[in-house]
Amino acid sequence: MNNSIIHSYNKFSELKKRNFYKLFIIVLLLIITLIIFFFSLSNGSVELSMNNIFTSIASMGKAENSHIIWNIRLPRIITAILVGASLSLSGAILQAVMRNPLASPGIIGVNAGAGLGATIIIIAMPIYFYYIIPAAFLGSLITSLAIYLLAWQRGARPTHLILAGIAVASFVSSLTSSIMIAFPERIHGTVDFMIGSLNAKTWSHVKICLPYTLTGIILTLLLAKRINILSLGDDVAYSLGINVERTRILLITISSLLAASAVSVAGLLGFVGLVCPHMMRLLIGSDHRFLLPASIIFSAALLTFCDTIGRIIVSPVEIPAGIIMSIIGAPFFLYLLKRKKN
Amino acid sequence: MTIKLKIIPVIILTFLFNHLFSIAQDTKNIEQTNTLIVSETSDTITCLNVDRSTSVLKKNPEKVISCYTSFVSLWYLAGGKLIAIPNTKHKNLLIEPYNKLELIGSVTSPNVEKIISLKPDLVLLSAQMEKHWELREILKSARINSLLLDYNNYYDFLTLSLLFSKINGKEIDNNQELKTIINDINSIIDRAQKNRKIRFLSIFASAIKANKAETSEANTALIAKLLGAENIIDNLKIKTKSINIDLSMEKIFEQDPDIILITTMGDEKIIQEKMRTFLKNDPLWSQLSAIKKDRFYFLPNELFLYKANENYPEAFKIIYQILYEDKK
Amino acid sequence: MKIEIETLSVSYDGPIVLNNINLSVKPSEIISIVGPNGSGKSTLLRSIAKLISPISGNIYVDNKNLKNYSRKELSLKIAFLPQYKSIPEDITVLELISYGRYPHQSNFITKSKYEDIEAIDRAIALTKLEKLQSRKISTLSGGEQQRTWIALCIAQETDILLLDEPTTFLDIKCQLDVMELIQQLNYELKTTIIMTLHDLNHATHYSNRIIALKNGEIFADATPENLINKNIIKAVFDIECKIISYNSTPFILPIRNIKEGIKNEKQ
Repeated sequence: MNNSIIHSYNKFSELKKRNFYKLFIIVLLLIITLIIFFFSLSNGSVELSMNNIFTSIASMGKAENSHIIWNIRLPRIITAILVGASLSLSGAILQAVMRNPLASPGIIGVNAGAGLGATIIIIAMPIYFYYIIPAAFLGSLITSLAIYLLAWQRGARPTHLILAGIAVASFVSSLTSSIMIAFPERIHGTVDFMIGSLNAKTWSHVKICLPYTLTGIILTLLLAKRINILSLGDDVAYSLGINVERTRILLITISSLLAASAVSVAGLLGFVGLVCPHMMRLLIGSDHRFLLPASIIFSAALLTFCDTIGRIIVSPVEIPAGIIMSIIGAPFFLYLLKRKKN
Repeated sequence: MTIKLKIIPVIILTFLFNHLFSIAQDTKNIEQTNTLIVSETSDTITCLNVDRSTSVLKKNPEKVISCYTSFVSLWYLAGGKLIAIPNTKHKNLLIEPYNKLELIGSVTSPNVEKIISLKPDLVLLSAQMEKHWELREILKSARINSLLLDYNNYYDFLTLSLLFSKINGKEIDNNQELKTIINDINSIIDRAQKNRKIRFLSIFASAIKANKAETSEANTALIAKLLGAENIIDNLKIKTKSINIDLSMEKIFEQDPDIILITTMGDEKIIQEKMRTFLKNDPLWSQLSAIKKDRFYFLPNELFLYKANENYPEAFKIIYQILYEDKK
Repeated sequence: MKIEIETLSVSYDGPIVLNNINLSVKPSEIISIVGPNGSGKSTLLRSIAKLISPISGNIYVDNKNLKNYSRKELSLKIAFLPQYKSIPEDITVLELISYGRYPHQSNFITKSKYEDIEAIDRAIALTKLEKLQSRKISTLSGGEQQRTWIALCIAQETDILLLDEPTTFLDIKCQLDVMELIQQLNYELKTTIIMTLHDLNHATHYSNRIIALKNGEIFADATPENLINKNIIKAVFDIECKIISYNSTPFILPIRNIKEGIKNEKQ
């Protein structure tokens, strides 16, 4: 009997080894994120001493000369971390729920909806410009809801969701375009929103993002096992005791809220939600107990890094993070793909 | 085109750019202005476009269309007449003689068919508008002459005044209105207390962000600079030919300008009031000296977002007052 | 654990697929459901697995109405292996089998308990997958994959196992492997097994009761010896067949008369 127990535990040692390797990668990512955090904090268009940085943070912005660190750089970096984490998590959830590695927050209409909400305010009602974020948020959620309802037929199957998503997103985008055509002199403002940047993000942006990101992360990590089983197919998931439809609604809701909060604050950063989880899947596999934390940490780091590069490359002019992400991210992604093939 | 014809525009362009970049020049006389005129005969004139191509025009064109709001009153000032203008909210264009003209659609997206159906002799296009570049090609194939021009600031005003006058067969010397305008402006410039070296930042604030900073190529910034103030962007040694740039908040804070000039899209009082509240309360902006001391000013669109043309003296006066007469 | 089905009728938004089904399943039976395509075989199985709601009638599992079972409760009593499964790319055999323990585990990320390890062990031993444990499923053959899925169901430790066409995509050897595995399961673990099959001979040899469905109704419900006769097969499947005996085991040979075929075409 003792022998068989030892034998059984040995059986799992192979599995344990691989899980340790995955955990190691996650810890590595965490360390890289920390390094990038400090890199980002100490670089910008204004030279600051390490002393300044420490006193600024320690005094929570009350000390002299702490304005740049405490009110400009720090909230911007934290927003980048939250936005990156949210978008990537949202994408990872959708890729699991839709059982499609090409799924992204765009599929559930978040981008189109946020674009419409923001455009309506910027162009048609610029007086209410401080309502841009809530409008974008509302736009995302309404669009996601519309897609879900459209795809619902005694349950929402992934293929239906994807098709409904494409249809609704196109429709909403055309609405956005129509508004832009009707007020052509005001198009200026929308371009900045469409590209996605972390320009001039303040603590108020952090406050908007934080509750959604934290809640989303905690909830999703708790559901990680369930998500694993969902990827085995609806039937098998039901058989193993999961209420598939309820879980799907829950996950899509979490995904929508995460993406909506991120996009309404930072604009349409398309790359993160699609490619980051996919990159992590190539690196760490599709066990969501590891994939989700890895995606969150990786994209937080990536977005912060890209924003920092965008800030220092042609300082003091700034290049939006979205653009840098596409330039850096695309080749890196291709490299990972190639490695996987071999 | 022969080599000779190619070199001449290049030389002229270099000359033109040199002038635009020069910091030493305070006042400008129209005769010193560089020209987009390549060559001239008694009844034709060859002009230089932004894309380095040349257009040969018959002088005194009868049917002219402007696709850009800011050209309209300048064309009239230079002695010309138009048959059509773009749809616009510009208050000054809603009265005589402009309100009787045909409309050819929005500035950003003019109606090609309407333009061609009016059979114009000349169409004025702006190099700032993407669609206008396409329009130039379309008009070329329809054998309609067009001019693709830059109009960003007061220097362009001078350049275009000369060009437009010549096209309309008029001499600047005989244009009293124009001469008065330029003299008024020169006298304001002379009065300016340049030794005070006031440091300013000129921004274009839209709904999304307020840190689109204007370089000294831009309308407002150039006026302030001519009046002796220092654009904080000039300090930063940024190599760019564009009119505005996304400036980092950190830099703005570090430079801490004495004055901030703000142009908004749509200058209704309400928007400006809300923006004022936003700037005074936002954790980023409220720490700037200019905001704290209430030395930030919203500028009327008719004079600063659009080019002031015949009202340029008014524009210069306003900036002068902001710089030197605001008792704070 | 027994299953009682009373006057079950099921429809998919319109046409009735199952009509007035009455069925009683005793513990540890192996039942094969056979019938032509569209006769309702899968539907019956999926109804028992609570994947479809009936328009009328009741199903009782272990004396409790299916309607009153939560998903979690049901997953401890019934394991369902569908025809179409989705396989994540890089999952290993061991990982997939361990998912079968999910109904017995809490939601938090915990380490495997002793019971889990035991159950997984047993599943691997029964399916003879010891050597393939660390392999990625995508690298296995069809038969090996199916064995892995069955191992998952075994690890789930339910009294009832439902299999929807478990052999349809497999080659002859794998088919026999799977059928023998099923038989062994029933013998060693006393699992009640209900499966839908296309191959009549498999049904005959590996189950102790066959239910033949036709047009959504039970046409025949009997032991293999009693069900296997030419008339019943002709009535259900609309084919001629010959029944031969080999080693005192009946084999059904479907026959189509070639001359008759030509005659039919000419008409």
